[in-house]
Amino acid sequence: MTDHLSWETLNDLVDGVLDVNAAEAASRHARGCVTCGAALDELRATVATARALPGTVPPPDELWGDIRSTIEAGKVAYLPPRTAAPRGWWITPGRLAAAAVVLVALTTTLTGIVMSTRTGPRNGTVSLTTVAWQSSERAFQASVVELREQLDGMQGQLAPATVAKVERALATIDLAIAEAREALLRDPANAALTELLASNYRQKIGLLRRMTQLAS
Amino acid sequence: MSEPQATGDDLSSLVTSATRGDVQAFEQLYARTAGRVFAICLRMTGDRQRARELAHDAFVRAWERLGTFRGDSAFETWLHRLTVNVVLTAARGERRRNARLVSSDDADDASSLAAFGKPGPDVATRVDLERAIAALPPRARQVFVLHDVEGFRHEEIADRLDLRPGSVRAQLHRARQLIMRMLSR
Ligand SMILES: [Zn+2]
Repeated sequence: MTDHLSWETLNDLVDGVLDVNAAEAASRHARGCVTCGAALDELRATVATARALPGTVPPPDELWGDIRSTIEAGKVAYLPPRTAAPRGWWITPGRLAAAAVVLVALTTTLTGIVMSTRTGPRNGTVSLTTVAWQSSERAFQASVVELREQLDGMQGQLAPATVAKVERALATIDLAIAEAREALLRDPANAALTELLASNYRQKIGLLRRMTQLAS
Repeated sequence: MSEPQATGDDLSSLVTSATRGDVQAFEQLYARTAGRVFAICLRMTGDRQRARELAHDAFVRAWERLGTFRGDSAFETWLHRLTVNVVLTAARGERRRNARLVSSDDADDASSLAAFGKPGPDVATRVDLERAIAALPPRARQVFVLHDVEGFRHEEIADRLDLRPGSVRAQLHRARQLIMRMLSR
């Protein structure tokens, strides 16, 4: 009588990772040995039950509401800890690309309508330094608030569909801004992030400015 | 709960809308995939509250990353991988924190088994198996769920968990042994 099959051999047999000869020898032993045969059956049954577990489990009812709140607040909920800056904001390019698509489409439409396209801060002299990005951000935010107020005062002069499109584009840019800010708070000296944040603000201000021109 | 069935085309147009910032489209994607995502989070953590947090993070991350979804795999596959990444990344952070308190994964075997309590008379029922999975030590649970429930291969698990393939195999065998011991009590 040979030794019983080891636990490792039983598992490898079930997983099909033994070579042909070893698998044949193990199977032969299990067929002739009550102890190993029972252990093998029990192991197979356990693995089969695991494979057959339902693929879905109903989530808590409130889960979607929480997700929605986070998304709409423009928060970046998932920045892995201890990752270097380039991995910290890797989510941005996709979001930026989405913003860019909307912006291009809008700009194409708007340039047709707006006859005089004055240059916004995009070509201006605003630049952020790595140490002072937060104070520069306040200047950007002031411009945003001012343009927003102008635009709100012109309600009714733009087609609702255009307003909806612009609001969506603004929301997308806001997400990109939130991501860049979040990443900068973790890595304040990162010049690329600073420039990214500035460029997001320029996009937002440029869009708001074009809308005020269109509405006036 | 049965989730609404969707064809790939339905999902793909929802993904397109959601990528443009349409939260309602994303809500429909959520409705069709939340049960799957929550199942992975729950089984990988064995903790309902933690699973809820991770499912939240997975969907928020999916929203953020929709622009990177290329459509060359099914959306569900993409979301599934993303969810596993979210869970494993969180687990790595937790392991680092816990490393200061517990010297090894083995240290929680005893408490995990004790917490499992006395199972019912039936062995290998689904409910008992779910409870047994939840009671496994974290590493063994991750490997077991990824291999035996989710169908990942050894090499892929080794890659995801940053383990040698031999360690994955050892953790899997250990997990099965613990589960069978729990189920036969
Ligand atoms: Zn034997």
